[in-house]
Amino acid sequence: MTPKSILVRIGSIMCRFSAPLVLAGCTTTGMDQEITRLRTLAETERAELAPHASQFRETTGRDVRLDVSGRPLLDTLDKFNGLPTADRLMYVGSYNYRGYLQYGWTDCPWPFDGRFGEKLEPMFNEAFQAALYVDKIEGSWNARQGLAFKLKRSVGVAALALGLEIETCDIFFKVPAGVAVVIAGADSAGGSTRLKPTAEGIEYRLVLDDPILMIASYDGLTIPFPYKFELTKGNIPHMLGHAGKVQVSQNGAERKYVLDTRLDKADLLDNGLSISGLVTVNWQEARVSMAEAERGTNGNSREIR
Amino acid sequence: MTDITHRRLLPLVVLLAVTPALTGCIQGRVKALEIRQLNAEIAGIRDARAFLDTSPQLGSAYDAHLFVGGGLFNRFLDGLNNYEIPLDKPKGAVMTIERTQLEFKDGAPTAFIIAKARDRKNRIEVRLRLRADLNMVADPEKGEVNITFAVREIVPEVRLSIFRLRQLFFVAGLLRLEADKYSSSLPASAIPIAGTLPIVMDPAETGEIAMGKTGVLFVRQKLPHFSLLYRYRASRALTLADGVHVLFKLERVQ
Repeated sequence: MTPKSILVRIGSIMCRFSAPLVLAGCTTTGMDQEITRLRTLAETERAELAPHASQFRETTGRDVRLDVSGRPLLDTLDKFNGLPTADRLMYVGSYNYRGYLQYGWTDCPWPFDGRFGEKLEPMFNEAFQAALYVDKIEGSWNARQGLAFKLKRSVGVAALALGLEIETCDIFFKVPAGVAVVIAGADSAGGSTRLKPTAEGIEYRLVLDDPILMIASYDGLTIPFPYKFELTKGNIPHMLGHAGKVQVSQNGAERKYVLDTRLDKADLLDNGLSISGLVTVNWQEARVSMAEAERGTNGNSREIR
Repeated sequence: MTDITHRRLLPLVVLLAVTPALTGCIQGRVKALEIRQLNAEIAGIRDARAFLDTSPQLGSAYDAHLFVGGGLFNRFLDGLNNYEIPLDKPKGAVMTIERTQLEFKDGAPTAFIIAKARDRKNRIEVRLRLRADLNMVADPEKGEVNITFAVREIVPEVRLSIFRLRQLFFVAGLLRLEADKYSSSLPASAIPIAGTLPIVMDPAETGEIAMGKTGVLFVRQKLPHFSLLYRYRASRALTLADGVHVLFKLERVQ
């Protein structure tokens, strides 16, 4: 090979290697200045964004947080108010009781055991029956009570069959004592929202704080029957599901994981509610090479905290 | 000069000429990529600010807000470590992901994928830096937020030397990789998101009524029962320095 042919060959090889590189753009002229300018601009823009972003920032070190509007719970009141009249009737009936309404006794004289006296109580287990009609439930949301609601324009009819249990020195018998008229007044009744974090999300309960007050009158005796009930109980899921996956090979093989989400904080907000917690990622397969993944080899599960 | 001598000299001459070009080329590509990433970052920050300037409030601008912390995101991505991808250039080479990490900042996260490439015979190993964009798409039908990385560049991190010929040619081969081609075979993960929110009016069937202060009535109560059903629809995802914030609208479906 002559020196000339060597040069020709070098030139040819250099063209093969260098030309594509040059075409690909290997010059850095002006790039450094542009990078410096853009970095400064990005920092300026980021500094201006910071105060706007603070309302969204999670500051308590939680892995996951869900804020949900209170609107769905408010909607339950609209739904209730839109129910046909018959469906807004509530029936309440006793199936058991404990205790008594009034009791008076003295010890039996010697040589008798026991006591001598009488006890006013329900005549039988099903002695109390009530029907309540709630015309409307009004409510609004606030950060202290959540959904705060009031039962409006409600009427109630109730009765309580009373019995007098007479105790005569260890001899017991019960006689009917009459029926107590029960007046139910629901207009003062109202309630609020209780929150409790659970494994599934957040449990909410709409509970009557101010009860439906029923007053039983019998023979000059007035006895209050405050009736509290839970309007509803439900669960708002934390949205982060239980299982996910990552693609682990080019052929689409996936590695699955299960999330262990532990929600331990629930708060009421101005317009809704919030839950937050920590998450552990449990992988269902050990780390494997692509070849193993493609063969479907499963290893032991592992946990990343 | 014999023909054999020419053959021995030839690679040396070629390499002397090519090495500076190759080294300069790597630097140029890294810088071009940095410019592209900075522009994307600035666009992300401006987009986030435009939204936050409207003072979006829970209950009006959005109905639900799911925050997933940056630390948790990176724990998802730990599952991708040791993930291997065969490369078509240089022939027979394999790329192994060593670490995938998102650095969260207000505006847009930066994805760092550290990998290594080995030649067919495992004689050469070169560390790689993959520059990628993070794509996050909510799929309400599947109840997932899908996360993929669009690889924009595969950059060998190597000090090139004309005395390590095999490495030099291996790197030259890596530089010819079409990074986009590997986007579909790189990390993809799905974070499950529940798609529906049932609200059930389901009062207890039994309760208690105090009988003055000395007794209790145990009652069965027949109260209204009904249910409402809402579907979450992801409307926006914001990435801030603490992690990802997905905002949802609630749509009543029942």
